Amino acid sequence: MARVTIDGRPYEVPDGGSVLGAVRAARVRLPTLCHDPRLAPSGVCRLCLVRIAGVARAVTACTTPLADGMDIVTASPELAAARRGILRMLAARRRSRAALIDESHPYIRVDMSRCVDCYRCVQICDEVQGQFVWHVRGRGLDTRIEPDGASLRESACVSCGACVDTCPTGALEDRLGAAHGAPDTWTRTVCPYCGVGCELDAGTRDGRLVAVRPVIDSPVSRGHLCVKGRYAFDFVAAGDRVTEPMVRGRGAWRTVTWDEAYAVVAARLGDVIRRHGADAAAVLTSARATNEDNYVAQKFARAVLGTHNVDCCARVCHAPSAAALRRVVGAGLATGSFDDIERAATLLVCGANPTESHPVVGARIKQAARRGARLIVIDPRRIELAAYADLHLAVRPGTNVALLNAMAHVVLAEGLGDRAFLAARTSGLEEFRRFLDAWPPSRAAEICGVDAASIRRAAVLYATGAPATSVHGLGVTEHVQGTDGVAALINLALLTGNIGRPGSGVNPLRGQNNVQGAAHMGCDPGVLAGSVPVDQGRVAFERQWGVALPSAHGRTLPQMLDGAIDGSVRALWIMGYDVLLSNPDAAATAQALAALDVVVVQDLFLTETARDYASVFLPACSSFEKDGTFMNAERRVQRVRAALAPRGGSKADWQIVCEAARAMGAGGFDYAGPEAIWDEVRALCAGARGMTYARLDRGGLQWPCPSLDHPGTATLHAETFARGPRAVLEPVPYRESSQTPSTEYPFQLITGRTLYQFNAGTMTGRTRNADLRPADLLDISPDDAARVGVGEGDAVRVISRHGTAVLGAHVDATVAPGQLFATFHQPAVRLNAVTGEGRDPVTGTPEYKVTAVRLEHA
Amino acid sequence: MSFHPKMEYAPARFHKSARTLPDPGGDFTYTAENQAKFDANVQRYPPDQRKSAILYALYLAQRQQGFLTRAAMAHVAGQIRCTTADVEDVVSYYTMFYTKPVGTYVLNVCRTLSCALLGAERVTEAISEKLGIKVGETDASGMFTLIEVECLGACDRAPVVMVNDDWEERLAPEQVGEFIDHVRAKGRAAFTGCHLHKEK
Ligand code: SF4
Ligand code: SF4
Ligand code: FES
Ligand code: FES
Repeated sequence: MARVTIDGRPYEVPDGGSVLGAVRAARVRLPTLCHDPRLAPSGVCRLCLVRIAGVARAVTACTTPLADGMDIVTASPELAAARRGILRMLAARRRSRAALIDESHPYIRVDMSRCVDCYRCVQICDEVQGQFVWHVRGRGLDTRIEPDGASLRESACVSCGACVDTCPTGALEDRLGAAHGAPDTWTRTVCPYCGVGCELDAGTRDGRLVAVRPVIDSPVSRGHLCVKGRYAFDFVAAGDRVTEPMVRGRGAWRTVTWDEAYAVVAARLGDVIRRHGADAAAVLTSARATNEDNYVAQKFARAVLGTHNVDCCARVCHAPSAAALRRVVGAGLATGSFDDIERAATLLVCGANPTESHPVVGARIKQAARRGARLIVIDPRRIELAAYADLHLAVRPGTNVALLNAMAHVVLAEGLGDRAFLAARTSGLEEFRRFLDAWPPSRAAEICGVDAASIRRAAVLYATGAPATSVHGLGVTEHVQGTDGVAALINLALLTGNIGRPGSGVNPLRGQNNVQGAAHMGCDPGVLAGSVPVDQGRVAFERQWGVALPSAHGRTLPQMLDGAIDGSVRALWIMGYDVLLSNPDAAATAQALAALDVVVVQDLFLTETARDYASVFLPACSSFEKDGTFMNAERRVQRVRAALAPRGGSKADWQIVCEAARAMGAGGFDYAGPEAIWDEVRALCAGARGMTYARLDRGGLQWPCPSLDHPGTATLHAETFARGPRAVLEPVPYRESSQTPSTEYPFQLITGRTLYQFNAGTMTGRTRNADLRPADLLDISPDDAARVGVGEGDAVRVISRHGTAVLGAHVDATVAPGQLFATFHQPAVRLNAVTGEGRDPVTGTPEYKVTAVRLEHA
Repeated sequence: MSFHPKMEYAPARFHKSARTLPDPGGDFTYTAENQAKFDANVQRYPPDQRKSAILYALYLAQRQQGFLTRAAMAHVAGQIRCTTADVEDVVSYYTMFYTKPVGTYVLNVCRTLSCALLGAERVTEAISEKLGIKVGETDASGMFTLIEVECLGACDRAPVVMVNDDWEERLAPEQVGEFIDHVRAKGRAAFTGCHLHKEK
């Protein structure tokens, strides 16, 4: 604390920081235009002038470091006159020049006649987002701010809205909601999209969501958002939201009351169970629903239906991460936090494209690299981060394990491992070393298409730049060796002592906002809430729920669909998940869904799955319309709060499940609200015990948080691993994917996300993001495009052994020759007709990331 | 085309920025001679400070073509390894980089304090009237371009006009017409030159 005098009065303020910080902390008013806590102080507006005793002239408070004992004067006739002079000059400048008006962007309106040259947009686009769109042009009176392209739309802008958020005058302005007036209520909640879990303030007016703004002091997003969180919220009010329950009879939908709907559900599920047994029913839950929703859904499956057939969409993305982490270090959770990005000396990004898929984390990684952290990128494509990387290894799709093994070989062969850590916290080193002897970089080089010297350099960079953290995405998990790939990453971290200390770790970037939570709440056939294996948790759960748990093993999502085809699964309850569009080998998925007797779909929209296969549709409300909690990729549980009333007759997912359970005569489902459900979770899971709603209301907490005075856990495995003091280094043999190119199918297709769309497009497809990214595209390298005669924008047919899809081609030099990259968001394209049946043997996660294909002109 | 078959939005109608962009221009590459000059100049800077060579790179491009097109800026960006936008920033800052063709003689009228006090505005007006052009324009004969600039560093000899690379000092508004006629007739020989040379 520093003691200062401000305008004659004594204050105690936090030390460090600037004089402005002290003035603000003392709650004394001081005008500013160019100040933003997210930015380095620039001192250009000069409005924050103050007098400091002993300093000869007035100084800008924002750029002057605070010192103990300062005597600060913020208001005097002299200062007022100076400020007035500055404002007069600004006003004169405004009149003197023609202004840029740019309405090219669907979300951002530019009217530079309101610009006051504070340069905050220029700074934030550079220092926070790292996009460098805004430029200062001209000089003196002619100074003007312009985007780097012909218009904002044609610039490098990624539509994050940061510049709009920081603009103090409305020169940059949101277009959405402008017609409805400024919001009168702001509700703090969590972004409905990706696993980064940015907090946001949802602004409403007259029962309508009109604006979203970032939260400055959020530990995750630090005052930033991406285009999805910031702007893609209009789906909430889309005209085709279904808001009344519907039942299908003789092919046609009939709107019914909730009671009727529950009666139909109860009768038809009851019928299936009576005739075919409880294991003929299955429940799929959603990684976009809250922890509370997911918890009651798996409880419903286990306690009411009487089956462990419950799974969620983590199965098709990060189940391998959870499985590998659970196997090696004992907990299927990210070992570190996003804050490790800033703490790490070395960052390894493997099989992830964070600037598109996890944009706020992507921006943080980019800034860390710009500040000098070492960055290694392992990805077949030259992704945006590769431009900031010390080293980019363009690994051939599906060969991660070979590459990571070779890196581990180098670490051991050159004695770069962390000896103390290896001795104290690992076992199996000798066997592991023998296994790795067979993996010199020269061998991996041939398999991976990366030269041996680069592999060695990557290993040296990673092993010598402690602390090193790795983040990985679906480019590691969605392979036949998904779990093995993650295990190989963990091995690398163990060898170099990069687990359990700040700045290190193995951190899966979760795809959807609550993937971590959904799986953690027990939406997995093998584990119960709190990630406890069924056999270990059985007794406690049976006692809490007052029912006997089924003994047979449950089915995973792919097994459920297989079961539908062979007749052993007859009923499927799907909560917020467009199975048809999401699962690979769409033809097989369609066949499975068609074979089911009962399909209950709970969603906001009549998804493709619901439209074609559902027998009952239960309208759920969006996360802007309910309370609960989400758990992000760094295990942080954060409060979701209702900003709107549920639209029409729609209800929260937990409510629907509970009411259906009661209609089926089950007890234990009369919760007063999400908090009561969460309290039950807290009673069952030691890791959640300290996270009461009261505490979460003050800010998110990282799991585990076992007691009320526990601060949450930023770094797991600091002292010991969940299973004991040592983690076993296990050899991970490399297995080739069956999708290697052949003469008939010469290309390898990689699928992935774009920044603007999200998964099945159900939400983003109903927003103006669709103007920014209107269609799925097939990226092809310039060489291949020339060779097969494909031009920009040509319609091409992608053909695999499983099916075909038609997309527009985009010639893109970031794709390597012989490879293709396509996004998968457009219902009309249905790219998953092409992806195959390959699965990770441990988790059943599909091999979305490699499919052998050929091309034809469409 | 709407992304989602059920999307209700009307097709987007956003009008483009009204701002004037630099002339795209035809293909531009350095002549072999200029390339050699650039390559020699860039050696002066450490490899990670390559951007330092940007002014020289632009100077060469402008010498080669008379003014800077976007294609020329893109070429410079390629040489420097920065974005074209970064090059545009630099070009826009310096009054001596031209984004439009200029006349044989560029009249740079100083408008900063000393010159302003001694009638710089009237100098500009006089030139304007004489040639029938506004600031930033080139006259019909293609001989003169009028530009206003900030302090030329010869404040003691205000008002100052810089003609191409030479100072024309103490140029009173009344003398402007005569000066222009002289230049038209005699070219460079009409320049009176810098006082440092004159008073030597
Ligand atoms: S929206 Fe984001 S990326 Fe676009 S100009 Fe503004 S800060 Fe930069
Ligand atoms: S980064 Fe993810 S959580 Fe954050 S705003 Fe974007 S989509 Fe939402
Ligand atoms: S806020 Fe300090 S100079 Fe602008
Ligand atoms: S003010 Fe004109 S030269 Fe300095």
